[in-house]
Amino acid sequence: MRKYLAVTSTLFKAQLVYRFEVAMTAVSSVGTVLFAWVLWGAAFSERTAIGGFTYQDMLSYYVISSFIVSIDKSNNVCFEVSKKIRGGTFSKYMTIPANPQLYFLFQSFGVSAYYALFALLSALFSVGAFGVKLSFSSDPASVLCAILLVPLGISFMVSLRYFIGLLTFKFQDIGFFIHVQSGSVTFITGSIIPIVLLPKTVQSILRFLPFSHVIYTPAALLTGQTDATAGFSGLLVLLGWTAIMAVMNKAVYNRLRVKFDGVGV
Amino acid sequence: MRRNLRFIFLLLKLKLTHMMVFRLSFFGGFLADSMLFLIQILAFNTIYGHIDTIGDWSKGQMMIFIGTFSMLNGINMLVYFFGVLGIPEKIASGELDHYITKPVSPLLRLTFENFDPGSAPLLLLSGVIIAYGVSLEGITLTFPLVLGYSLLVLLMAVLYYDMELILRTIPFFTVAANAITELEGPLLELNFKIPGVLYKGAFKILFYFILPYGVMATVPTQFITGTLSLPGLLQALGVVTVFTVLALRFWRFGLKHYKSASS
Repeated sequence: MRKYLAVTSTLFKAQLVYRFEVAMTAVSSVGTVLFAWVLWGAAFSERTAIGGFTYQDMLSYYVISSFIVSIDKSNNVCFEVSKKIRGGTFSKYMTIPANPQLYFLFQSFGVSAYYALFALLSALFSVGAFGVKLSFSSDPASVLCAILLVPLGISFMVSLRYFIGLLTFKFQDIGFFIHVQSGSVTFITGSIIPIVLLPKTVQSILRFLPFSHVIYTPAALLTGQTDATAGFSGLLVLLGWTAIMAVMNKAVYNRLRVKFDGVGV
Repeated sequence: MRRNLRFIFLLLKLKLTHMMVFRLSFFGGFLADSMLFLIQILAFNTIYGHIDTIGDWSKGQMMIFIGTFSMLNGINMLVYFFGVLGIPEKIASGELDHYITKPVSPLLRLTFENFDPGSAPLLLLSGVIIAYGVSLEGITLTFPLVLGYSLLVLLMAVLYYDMELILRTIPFFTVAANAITELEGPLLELNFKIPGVLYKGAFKILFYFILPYGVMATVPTQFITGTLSLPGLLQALGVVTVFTVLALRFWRFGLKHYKSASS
């Protein structure tokens, strides 16, 4: 465990080099709240509630969901794994005494922790700049569930992106998989619009899939749009899917690693 | 003019030959961008499932807006995006020397040398989205309407090009201009989702006159749906003219400040 914590700490410090990337993430986060402010401002101009949300609830949802989106940097994992497999430098992960999947997971935690500091600043800026009266749940169980869901959600996303990266062992170009998952995941996590606005049937299906529990459920829990029961079921679903992905990744890695033709192998 | 057209045709032929080597990546741009716009359609369909209008815009108008932006993006990706994208790196590395020493306009070659035929299906998809919006709005298409709309889309594609060129000319004067060019992404993303008519106050001035991403898909949409006023049309034409003159002059001014690899 100590070696993985060292990876987290190293990656946290390494982010100091990527100041511009951090700044862009903060700008993008403010941009999301600006989008909500303009679009939903126009939508709410003739009505007081949409799908159970008031205008201020909606803005609160976007402030919190854009914060979570900003700290989830798991998308870099598919690019990094793919690049290293194609470049032949993935052999590093085959020779060091660490599990590659856990290595990338703890690496992502380090990156997320650093981004969280700036995501918090941009969230505070958005609250001030757009006059958001932040709705916040007063239920400790809901808040606790949300706090647990965020790192668990990142863990699931890392394992999904690691899996996509591993496909490079089999297919030379994984651009197709990256584009398809990136677009669809953005929508079904609830980072574009709250999941509660989708048709009931779609919501019922999404409840058993992990994606909505990565962004929507913690954001809805923190803004008081859903209760702790939904939080607990979200935790169970995410735990189950993360475990499934971990087992699947191990099997895929063991099966495909023999195809690797890398540096020093 | 004929010489330039022959040159553009030759660049297209070279690019196609090069792309055949990387067949799997051929439709990369199309896949990425079509996903983006399909997700946007899904999002707005969901929102319009709860309300009838956003501001004064109906679902049909919003679909035409999304289709128009998708069309502009398709033209951008197909024709000039990948060429203009490489300008800062060519300035920084001194590779621009190869362009200014050839007996053809460096900007013409940079603009057209990286056609991306893989993005062509995006134009077809955009057409389908626009047709969907038109049918929702119940618009009767006439030849003048289609012609006017098409001309406005082409003009806005020029404006899109102007904005990209202006931002990528800045590296002539700075060591690195990543910050400025990277800002373009979030700004475009924002304006892909929000019709310009929804902006108010300072944001309206910002996205109509300073960084005119807000007019690009909005004006053709307003034209085809019959909501574009004459002052609005003239204003849009003025913005395109000013930014085109500015982009070309800025490029020439930048070239004068180019410190080549050998100097």
